Amino acid sequence: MLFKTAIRNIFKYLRRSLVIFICLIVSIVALQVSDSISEGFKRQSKILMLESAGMILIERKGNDPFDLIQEGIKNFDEVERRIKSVIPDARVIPEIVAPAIVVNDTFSVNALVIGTRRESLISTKLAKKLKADAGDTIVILSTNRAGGLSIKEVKIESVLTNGLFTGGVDLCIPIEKMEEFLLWDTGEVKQIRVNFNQYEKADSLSKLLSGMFPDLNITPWNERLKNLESLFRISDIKMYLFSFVVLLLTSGIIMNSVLSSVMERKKDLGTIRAIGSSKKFIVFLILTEVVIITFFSCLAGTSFSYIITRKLMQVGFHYESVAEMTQYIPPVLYPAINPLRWIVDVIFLFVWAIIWSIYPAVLIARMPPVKALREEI
Amino acid sequence: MLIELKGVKKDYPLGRTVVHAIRGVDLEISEGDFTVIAGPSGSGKTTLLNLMGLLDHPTEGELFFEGREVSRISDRDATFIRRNRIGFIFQTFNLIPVLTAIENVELPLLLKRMKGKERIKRAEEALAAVGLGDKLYHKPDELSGGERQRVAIARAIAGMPDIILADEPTANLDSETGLSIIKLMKEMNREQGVTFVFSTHDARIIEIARRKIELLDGKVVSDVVQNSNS
Repeated sequence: MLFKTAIRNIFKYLRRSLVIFICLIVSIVALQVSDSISEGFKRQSKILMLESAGMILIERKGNDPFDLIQEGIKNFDEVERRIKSVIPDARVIPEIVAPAIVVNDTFSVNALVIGTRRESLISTKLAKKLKADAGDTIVILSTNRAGGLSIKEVKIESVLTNGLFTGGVDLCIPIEKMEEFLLWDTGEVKQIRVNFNQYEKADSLSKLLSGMFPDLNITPWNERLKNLESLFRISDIKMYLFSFVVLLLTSGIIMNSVLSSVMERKKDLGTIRAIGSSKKFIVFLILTEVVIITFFSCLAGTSFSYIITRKLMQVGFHYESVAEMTQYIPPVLYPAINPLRWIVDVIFLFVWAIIWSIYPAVLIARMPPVKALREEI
Repeated sequence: MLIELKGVKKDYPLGRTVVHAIRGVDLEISEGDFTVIAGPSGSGKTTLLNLMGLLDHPTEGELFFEGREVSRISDRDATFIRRNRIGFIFQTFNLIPVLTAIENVELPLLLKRMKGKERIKRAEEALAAVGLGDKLYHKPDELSGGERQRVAIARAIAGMPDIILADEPTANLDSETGLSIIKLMKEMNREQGVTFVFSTHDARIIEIARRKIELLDGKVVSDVVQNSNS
């Protein structure tokens, strides 16, 4: 009977019920669609970042990471074969030491290139090793700070025998140091990046490979990029703020509508109190109405969210211009549905709607029946 | 003694002034009484019924329900007594508009936690007793004023209370319907022994009552047992 009464009251006070219904639908759609956009951004960015940094990074053990001269990986073919045997679609990317100057950061490359106005000087020893001479062009390869690869061409102006080159105005790199950069063997694999579709498997694969190749350092992304999750947590915080604003607006509308609705039927509720209902019954009656409305709102809202998100998943958000500036933002962002987040949204909104209906329900329940009936008795 | 009032006063704040609605009333209502409280508008009839029905607390004095002092009773206890011992009939019927006649009658029984089948049976009997056995599933807006008040009476009697308090039950009815309602109440009083206390200022209805209490400015000015003519 309580349920029946609640449903009939919903239809009797249809206008107010509709206000709550629509408000809740808008809220759930806002929460779920923004959740999906955030989820899509996180997933795509994460994959881009991991692809760039390598879901698994393989290096030779014993190398000092700060040392510019590092030992290469001799058994690359064997490593690749083993990886492919475990994950056939894995993308094994060797970092090759180029037959040229290899420096560790973009700054050094720029210093060389800018400093010599795209022309450089090398020592006799180096020229011999590279089989290069004045007038030849060498390629400088470097990994930049973001993990990307920089390639620059530098023309050799002349070959020096010894000493420091202060080259006009800008260049300040000692020639011995530059030679040191160039002492690697050509064609040697310095490190291996391994990428595959399920980045969650990086940890288990790393452990497996570590057992197979004890001379190599095999580190999964989650050990190297410990701050990656906290980076995405920032996007979550933005989401939570947005959700908070949506919920705040929702709470105001719900409370106001429920309050108006109960005040409009003060007489009916006062009568029920007069004939012997407890305060709890009144609160329960009002909350049952809210629960019914919220249930159907969540059902309708989630359906709308699904339709909208599916549409957005087909169209996507285009960020090509932004993506050009950074390698970690996908050029086209596609939302992704995270069912767990959607369920959490629904549960949260349910609880939220009930919380904000409690005040009007308790207010009317606590009103002495004589006051509610004053004009009537 | 079912209800007893000793020196009961009730004041209401009205802005910065205080309205003395009841100014020291001593009254006793016995089981099986059919009592009318008469008086002009503003004499305190409704306030007195509210006090007797435990819908309100007296400002001063003592109120007893079956010998138990209930002047300062808690809301929970007052609700319990109202639910189980008192029936109410209101001037404007106060039926729940979204419920059918039978559901309106079932409501106090539901609050008593009566089981479904028994509840329906009792509600049907109550509605049949007021002559509405054929309008069980009509909603209040599908009933005439007289029929609505009959449903209200059925609601009040369904729970078999010790006393029914009716506040001007005929005020919104035409004289003929009003008279038939009072006759119905009188019949129930006679046949089922239900105690009725109702307020009115309709002279024809006052004549029917066995006991007439007259209120004026919050005081009982007369309390007489009369020979009713029906």
